[in-house]
Amino acid sequence: MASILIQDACVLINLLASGRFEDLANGCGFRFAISAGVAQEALFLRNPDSVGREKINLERIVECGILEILTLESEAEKLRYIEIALDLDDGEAESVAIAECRHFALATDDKKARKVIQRRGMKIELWSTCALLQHWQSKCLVSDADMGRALANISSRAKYRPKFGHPDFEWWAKLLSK
Amino acid sequence: MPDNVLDKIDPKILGERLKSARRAFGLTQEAVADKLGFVRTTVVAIEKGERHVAADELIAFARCYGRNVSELVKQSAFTEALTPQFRAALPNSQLETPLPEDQLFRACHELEARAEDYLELEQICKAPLPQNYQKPYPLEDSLISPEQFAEDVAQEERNRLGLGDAPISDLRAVFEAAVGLRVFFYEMPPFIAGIFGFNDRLGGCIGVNIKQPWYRGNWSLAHECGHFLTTRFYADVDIMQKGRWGKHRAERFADSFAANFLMPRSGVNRRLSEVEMSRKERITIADLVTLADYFGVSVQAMCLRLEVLKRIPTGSWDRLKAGDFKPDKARQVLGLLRSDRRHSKWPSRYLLLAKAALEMGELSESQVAKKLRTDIVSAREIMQELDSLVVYEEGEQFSVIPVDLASPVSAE
Repeated sequence: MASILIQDACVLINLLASGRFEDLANGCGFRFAISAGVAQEALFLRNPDSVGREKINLERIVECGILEILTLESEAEKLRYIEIALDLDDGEAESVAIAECRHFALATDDKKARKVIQRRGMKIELWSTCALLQHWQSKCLVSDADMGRALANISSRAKYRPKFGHPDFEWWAKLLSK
Repeated sequence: MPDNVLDKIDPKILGERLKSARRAFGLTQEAVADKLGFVRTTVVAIEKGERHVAADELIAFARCYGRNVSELVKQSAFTEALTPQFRAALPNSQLETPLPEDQLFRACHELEARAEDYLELEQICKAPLPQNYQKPYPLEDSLISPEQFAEDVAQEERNRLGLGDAPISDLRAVFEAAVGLRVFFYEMPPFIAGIFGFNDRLGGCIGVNIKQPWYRGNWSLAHECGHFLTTRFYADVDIMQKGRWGKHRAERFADSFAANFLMPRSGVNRRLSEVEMSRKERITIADLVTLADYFGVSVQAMCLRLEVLKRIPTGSWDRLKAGDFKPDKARQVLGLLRSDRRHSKWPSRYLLLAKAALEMGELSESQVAKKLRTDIVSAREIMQELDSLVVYEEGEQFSVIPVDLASPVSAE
């Protein structure tokens, strides 16, 4: 298992929405990171107390060392990034290029990103939002009720839920009703 | 050592894109060279496609122009943009007080960007926009007045589209589905009502200022369609300023086309006669407001139309205005002020194509969010609204019956 997990914008939003980001970062057995491109994207969550949205402020969790922001370094990384940017958006392309070149794990739920990684034959350890949450639950013995609350937060604040037919659809629905 | 991706990208296409991005950002080659620490000849050679760009340089260019690298390296061929057409159409030379050109230009650039995104979605989904385009009507060759010509064209178009002389409940749907125009409503500076542009690749593209009231938006849409039907190879920026175009034939035509297409002579006359006959009284202000609402136009537009049709005395609108008449107040009293009556930003077909592309794994969530000019969570909400129309509960079982609006009705 890789020591660093780089998250794309979508997974980052989901994990932050769960309200348990710090616990996940401490309990999953990875150091959490994102690319500078993802950090620069406009990241918002739904505000639970109003109909508006709130801007995600990464400053605190970066300062505390819970999340690391990585930039492209070598020429090889930059070239790989440009190559992947033919298919993916900048933030995603950076995340994939860094994960591949530095042998980090990558967390993405995105069908397209996974398709591109597979088509290009890239050897990257892949995680998803659900896989990370399940890993955290079993590793840290998180109760179903706590997990249900985290999933409810993700559903309401990040508007994410596995779709009908997704392998984790039943798991999500079951815990959500706890 | 893997092949260098930059050797695989056509330097001429990349150079054109970099040039276009620089111009859109309003920088000279010299200013870019200074900013990035290059010599000017390097910028010139890269833009001409005479020199391959290095990875660091490409990333620096993208950041300098506020563009994504992914936008600059995409594999579609570069084609001449609508933007230069808009530059020629900007009306500053004809105005007493020049308007801020950067704002005008940004609104025009946004129309082009949206139309490009729409085309890309169609290409991904292999669903080209059906176009039912007539040859342009020869306004310049016509010997009759633009107003008379507009009435004839409006009637011919209504007949061609099977609209008869009835009010059009959804004008945008008519122009999108029956004609094949790309119509976007978005925020523009308050002095712009609408924008029109055309090229062979994108087809007819119309942008309307979403800040206008619903019925004003209809007028702007019909006005821009008037340009499409006649002078389609010249872009148009419709400015909300009195006396802006003097007696320019194309503008007189477009305004008159809007009036005749939205309020056809026979339809308005018949409706008015029905009202008059039912009460045996002359037209009241309430009738006027109701009639405007019925045809989806402003009270001012309807009043002026009735003056032209000689159903009310000339100068009626001026008298109403002088008497401090407030159309919105009148609508409110008559129960016609509806807050739900607004144009949606995106064509529904655009949203369905974006959803289909996401489902197929041809676009990522970030890419969809960018196409919808919003953040990821808001894009998720929009996509979810399209597929989870039914939530089914049976006892304690929770299940969703997916109703995917992008899927074919006859799917197995």
